[in-house]
Amino acid sequence: MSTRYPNRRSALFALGALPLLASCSGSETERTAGNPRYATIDQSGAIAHGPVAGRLPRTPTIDEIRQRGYLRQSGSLTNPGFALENVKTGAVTGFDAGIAQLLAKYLLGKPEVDTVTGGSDTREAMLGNHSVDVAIGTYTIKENRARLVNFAGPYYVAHSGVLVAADNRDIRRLSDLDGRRVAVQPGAAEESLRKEVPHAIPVLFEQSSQNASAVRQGRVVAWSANTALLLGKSVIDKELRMTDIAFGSSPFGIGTPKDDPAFKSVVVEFLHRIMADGTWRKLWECTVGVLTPGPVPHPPRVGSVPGS
Amino acid sequence: MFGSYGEDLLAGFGETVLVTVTAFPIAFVIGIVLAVFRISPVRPLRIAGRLYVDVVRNSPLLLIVVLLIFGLPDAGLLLPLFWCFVLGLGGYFGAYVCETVCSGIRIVDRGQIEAARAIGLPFRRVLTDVLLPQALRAMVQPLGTILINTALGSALGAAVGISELTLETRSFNLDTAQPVLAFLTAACGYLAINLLVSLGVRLLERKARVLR
Amino acid sequence: MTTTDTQPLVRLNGVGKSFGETKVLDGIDLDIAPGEVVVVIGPSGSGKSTLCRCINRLEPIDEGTIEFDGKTLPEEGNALAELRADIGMVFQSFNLFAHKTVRENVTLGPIRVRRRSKQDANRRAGELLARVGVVEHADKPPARLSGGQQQRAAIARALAMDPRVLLFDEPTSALDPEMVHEVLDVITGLAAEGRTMVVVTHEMGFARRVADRVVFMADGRIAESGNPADFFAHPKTERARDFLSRVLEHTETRPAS
Repeated sequence: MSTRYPNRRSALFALGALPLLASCSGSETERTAGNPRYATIDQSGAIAHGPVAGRLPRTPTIDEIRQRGYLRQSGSLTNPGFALENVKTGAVTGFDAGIAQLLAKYLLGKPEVDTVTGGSDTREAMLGNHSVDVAIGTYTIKENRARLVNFAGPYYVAHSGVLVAADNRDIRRLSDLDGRRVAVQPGAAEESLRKEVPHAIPVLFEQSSQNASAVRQGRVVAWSANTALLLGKSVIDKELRMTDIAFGSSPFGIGTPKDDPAFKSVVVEFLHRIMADGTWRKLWECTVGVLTPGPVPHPPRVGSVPGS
Repeated sequence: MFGSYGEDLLAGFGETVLVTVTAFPIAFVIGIVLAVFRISPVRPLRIAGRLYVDVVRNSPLLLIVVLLIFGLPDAGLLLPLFWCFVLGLGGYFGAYVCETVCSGIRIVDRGQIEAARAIGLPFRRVLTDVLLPQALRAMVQPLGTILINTALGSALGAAVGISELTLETRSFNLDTAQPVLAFLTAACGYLAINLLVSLGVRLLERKARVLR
Repeated sequence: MTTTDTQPLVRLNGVGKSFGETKVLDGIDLDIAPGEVVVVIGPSGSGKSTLCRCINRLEPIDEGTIEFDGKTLPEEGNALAELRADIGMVFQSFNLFAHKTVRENVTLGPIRVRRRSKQDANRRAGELLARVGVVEHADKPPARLSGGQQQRAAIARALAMDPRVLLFDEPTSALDPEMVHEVLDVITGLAAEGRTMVVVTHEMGFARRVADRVVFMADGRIAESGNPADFFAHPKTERARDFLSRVLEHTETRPAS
């Protein structure tokens, strides 16, 4: 797998390097590469299995991607299980990263992806002015966003879970979070928490490791995020415990430029292809499946949510 | 136009102001103390002051803030998020205040310091009666700039759980997908703070000139 | 030299000081008796200004000792600050505190160091400023005063501490010629009161008129010293003769013979 990394993420990169200093748990890169669970994530098998489109229609976005020779997307590099950069090797692993690579392979024949980590604030703007071709990365399909971008998907439906300190027995139901401080990452998890638990007090930290530290140190009573991420954390960190609480559903979609509907159709077709030929299932198994026990779910039905 | 978010955005603006007006006095005190260290006759103090300024000025603000938020609890001290952040901002901009104070001190005529020593003022009094009052006057403008930078730097709070203007703006945008409106509103908030500071600086400078 | 029956107020013993390689003071022995007016003259770079600044330890010394009233000057610190309060100093460039009024310049030391009440300090400042003739400028910032007025205010500032010795470091060198005499008049008046003074100056007429003793310095040493009449009439050393012939040629205040 080859991936391109321009220097556009210095701010986030600085954030990513910090919790190493802060959490002080010994090994130099426990958070990412040295972490056994996350380290085993490797979706290259699924990518190899991925389809390549036959004849593609000409759309402005596809023309640009072809001319450039790689796919440029807005996404994250610090989201374990979905898109996490290995600082040592530069490889990006996870389900969302895999979808992006599969899309690049589908369009170009090679899984070359350039990730711009603008965060959740800039996705619509970057799609709107064609700074990126697509936005892939825990991008929840919503109707008011669909005014600005075309969503292809959902390709994954995430549910929020709640993680607490191992010795915490107070948090049993969702309502136990009312009036309590709950750590959450900006974006899909934050939206979900604000919507489903409006009386909780969200405390936003950019990094998953910061959220974990905040729980361990007692700064917050819980951390809410998608279940895959939390399960992964709770397995490797004995000080943290996953509760049975689950809430919300965040249908993740691929954002595409509003003014290129033909391109969206191509991406929708792509999703149908990988869901039908078993690639989606393979990708799930070697990414989220590594972190989550249980059987492989059925892929969501594309176009099944408002806004898609 | 903002729906139910108007209140949140206003609260975020209030938090930004609160962070700024709390962090800046901390930066000011730290800066003055460091500057006194750096001109003191005691060599270890001079070295300590120098070291602090060099280390802090060459570290990203975010690193300092994150160290305070996530590092201090590991050392057994769990301060509220607000205070961690405010201390981080204050400690960081304190280094810049120190540099400003030092250059302010450098422009005070050496002869006046000698005169102050010659009438028997002890070191402390030379500082408080002769050196600092004059140095501070030369520092009004650069200190105003540091105050503005503190306000802008408080936007980093959005990354570490402080519900200030930038974070509320992001949440607003996240829900309504109106990036232009959202960030224009935030920009206006910061602009308002900066204009207010500039105005204050101009008034202070005028007052200082009258005293001359 | 002074007689042995009175203890000197200031005693310099083998004082030496270098700036890097250059020895600016070299084996200076000097006793100053109470009430004595010592005028230090010499070519520029002879070390006379440094000598003056060493007496209240604004310049630290490398060798020898300086005693004030029988006690060796302490190291930098509060004890030295206390001692400095007893040694008044007037600088070449006045060095008034620019952010304070003339009156505040005069009262700062008495209030902070002598712990006088503000009223006392203000009243005394008024008297002193009247005495040096700038009382009508008392509430102005120093920058509004002429050089001569500023220097007279600086003298009032030194006097306000009731010093036991007054040091003048070239007090008229930075002044326009027409202002020199107004400052020298004030200093002359002080000398007539019997104050102990050390005056570094280029004003030969003043030296001749006011000094109890003239000290002539060259190359960091005291080349010659004695009463002014003898010194100006019959300088003993070649250096002094040379210096005087050059200085007096261009001085309006030629010594009357």
